[in-house]
Amino acid sequence: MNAWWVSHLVLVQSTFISLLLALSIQVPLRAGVFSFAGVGSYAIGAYTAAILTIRAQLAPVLAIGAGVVLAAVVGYLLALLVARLSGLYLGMATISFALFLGVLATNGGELTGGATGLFGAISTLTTTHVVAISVVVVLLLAASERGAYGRRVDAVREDPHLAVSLGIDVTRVRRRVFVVSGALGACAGGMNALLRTTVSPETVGFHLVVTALTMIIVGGALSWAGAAIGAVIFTWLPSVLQVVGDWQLVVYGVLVAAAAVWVPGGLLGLAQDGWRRLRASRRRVPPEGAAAPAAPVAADAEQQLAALGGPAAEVRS
Amino acid sequence: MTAVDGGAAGAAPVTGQAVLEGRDVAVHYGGIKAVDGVDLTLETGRILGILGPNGSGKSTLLAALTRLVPLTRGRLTLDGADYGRTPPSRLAHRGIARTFQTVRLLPDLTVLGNVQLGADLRLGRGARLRELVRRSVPPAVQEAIERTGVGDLLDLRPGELSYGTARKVEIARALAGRPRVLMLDEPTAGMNQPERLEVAGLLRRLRDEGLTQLLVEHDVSMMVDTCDRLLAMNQGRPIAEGAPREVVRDPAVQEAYLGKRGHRAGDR
Amino acid sequence: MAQDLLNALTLGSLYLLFALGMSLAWGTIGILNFAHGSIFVFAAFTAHLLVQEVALPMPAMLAVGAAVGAVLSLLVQVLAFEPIQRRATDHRKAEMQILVGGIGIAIIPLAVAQRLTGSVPFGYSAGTFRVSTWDLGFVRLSNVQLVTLVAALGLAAVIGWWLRAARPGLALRAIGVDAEVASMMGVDRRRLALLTMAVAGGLAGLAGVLLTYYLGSIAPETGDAFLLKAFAAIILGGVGSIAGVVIGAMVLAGIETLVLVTTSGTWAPAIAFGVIFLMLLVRPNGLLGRQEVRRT
Repeated sequence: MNAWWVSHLVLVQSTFISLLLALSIQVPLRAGVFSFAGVGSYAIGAYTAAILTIRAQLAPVLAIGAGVVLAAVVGYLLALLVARLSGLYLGMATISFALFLGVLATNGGELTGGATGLFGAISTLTTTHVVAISVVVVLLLAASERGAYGRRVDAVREDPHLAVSLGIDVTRVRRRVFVVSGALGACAGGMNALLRTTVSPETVGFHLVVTALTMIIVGGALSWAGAAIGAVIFTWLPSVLQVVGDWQLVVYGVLVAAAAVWVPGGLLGLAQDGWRRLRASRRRVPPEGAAAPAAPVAADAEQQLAALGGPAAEVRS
Repeated sequence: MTAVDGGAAGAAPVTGQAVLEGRDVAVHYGGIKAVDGVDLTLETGRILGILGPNGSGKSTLLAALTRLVPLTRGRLTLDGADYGRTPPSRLAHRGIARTFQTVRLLPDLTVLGNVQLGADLRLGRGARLRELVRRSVPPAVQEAIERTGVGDLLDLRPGELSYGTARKVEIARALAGRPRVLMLDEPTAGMNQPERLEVAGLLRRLRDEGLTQLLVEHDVSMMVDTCDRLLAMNQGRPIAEGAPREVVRDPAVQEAYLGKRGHRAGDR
Repeated sequence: MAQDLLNALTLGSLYLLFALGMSLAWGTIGILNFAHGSIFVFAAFTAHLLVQEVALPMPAMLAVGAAVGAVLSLLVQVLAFEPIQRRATDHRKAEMQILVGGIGIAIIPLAVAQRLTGSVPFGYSAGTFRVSTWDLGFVRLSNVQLVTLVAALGLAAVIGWWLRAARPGLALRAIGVDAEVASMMGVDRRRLALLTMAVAGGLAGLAGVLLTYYLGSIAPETGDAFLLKAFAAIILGGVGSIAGVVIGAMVLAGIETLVLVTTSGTWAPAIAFGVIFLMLLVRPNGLLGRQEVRRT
């Protein structure tokens, strides 16, 4: 067991870092915000942690924490900037933001180490720390999916107008989501930089957007559990796929494409649907009130009222 | 967060006092005058009905009153204070609830969850945290469920409900926030006759308990039976206002409907 | 200076060929195909595989690229986007799922190409075509540049004309403006969508082969970069406007060339991202965009 742990340490670490990165995209998506800014925050967190560790020998908590705070602030400012955008346009604006940060890192001169990046960010961060932080994050997010907190976010995602009429400040929820996404992304990036002791501009490319997105697509976008499923699958898949040898990338592509097209709720959605169906078949409540809807209004009033009542027949428009 | 004064079941309100007023309300989209110069007053414990053919601006008026669309012109007051600049999400906190013309239940929540959504704004931080540990149903939610008679369906999802039942759940959601003013956009659309009578009865009982209501409906006989006053609209403008039976007989109202529907009436 | 301008025009033409199809599909049938870059690379790659076996001339290579691009694009439409559109409950969700589905599908052809090339750049040195350059005194124009310029501007003109004058083009524009009205007018949406995707894929394939000729060799990963640049060009000009894409592609290539020439060039990749971000904030409909174009 111990030997296994040692030989798989990197994979274990990657699983949790991937999870946090995936969550930085999943949290906005759950609120209906199509933002990839978390990938940019990953870069902010990674560079901040590496710079502070190399130059100031700060403790990992402070180095990572500084990145988290910085990314949260940037996330808030970004939310103000892109407040008018939604859907595809928001997605593209945030992808551009993230990739722009990669170019910025390349041009950061001595501070960011240019195209080669930074090396030697040696710290005392251990796998136990990473796991502990991830567990706390997951617990908090799981709580945010329950009760009134969860319902609120569901309403903002599914029907922002309705949410407003129910007293939910949709703009504020969206801003918070950007802040949380920024913090999560930076946490993932910072921990990764310190564990690997290095960071380079290549860390944040379009491929990172694709990786984070695919984890959520395959796992399921509506819960932290979906992101967790995705993170586990895509971190461990390569070692499982060694059976198919060189073709593993192709198999990976087919899996993602199939999930994206045929299973929009991801594996988690699939499991939940199955569970619900199972319960429904056990319960079998007689469908109350299932009588034919929209029976025409009975013309019980005076003649003219009946004529006036006519429009009721086309209320479903 | 904000403790809003008395729900419908609170201390006996003075009937007939002006709660919510709109003066010269107008909403224009480019050149289209969806609503153009409507005056209305909602009084405590009374139901104001808004009548008009499709496209006459009723739903836009409702959207304007709930601040979902900006006013082109006019003034809105609640308890005498202007609320024309209040963010729409604050209105629910001030006791205004509404339903929409179409079914707008959240597909991933159960019926209970959907109804609870209407009461969540009344929960304090403590209550929200407690709900993370233990499923609890506030009394207001319980009451809304009982009044609308959807108690047997709490674990179902909206996709499993009939259209009429789904609309009842929407009314329950609006009631769960214990509003002072309730605005209903065609609450009985798609319901069968028994369901319509049931809802009309419910609205009248709520009125008698002091709940102020604005009702948009196509079912004229229900409007006449239920409302205290009617406001008839056509092409965004008010064409008649007053006691229900008189408004319905008004020649302008007759023409607005029959002029449009004449060929249909002839078919019968 | 003149040489830089010519190079910028050539680069712009390559962007244009790539972006033209993307813009066409997005502005009319509402599909933003993120597999477009992958199709572009795979078409160029198929031509490469073929030319290793048979020494083909340039026109044949272009035809192969266009055909492979069209077929791949049709496959993506039939296997992925059509099922998504059929099952999606609302327009907004369908749009996002198409974006995500496109990103997912794009992995497959890219992975195949990476596997077969070992991620080493590939070219057409086995073919019969040889690059030659004419010295016109003030600039040196290569035969590849000439073909690229003529193809890009010619095809943009043809498509622009087709959308304006030909019956199916008009019907397609009607779908872009209001799908429901269009189907009431008896427009066969599905057939037109397939046609659009085939044309878009063909253009991508053409662009892929021409880029390979122009640069000598390309790496499988080139598609991602082109995808974002094309998006920048479309956003710059305005979705659904052919003249807009032409201007967007040329302006983007112009700025990039300017930066490459005047600085060390490390900022060049940021221009597309900056353009996308700023345009979305300031003027999401683009310089020439129509107001009624689909927006989410």
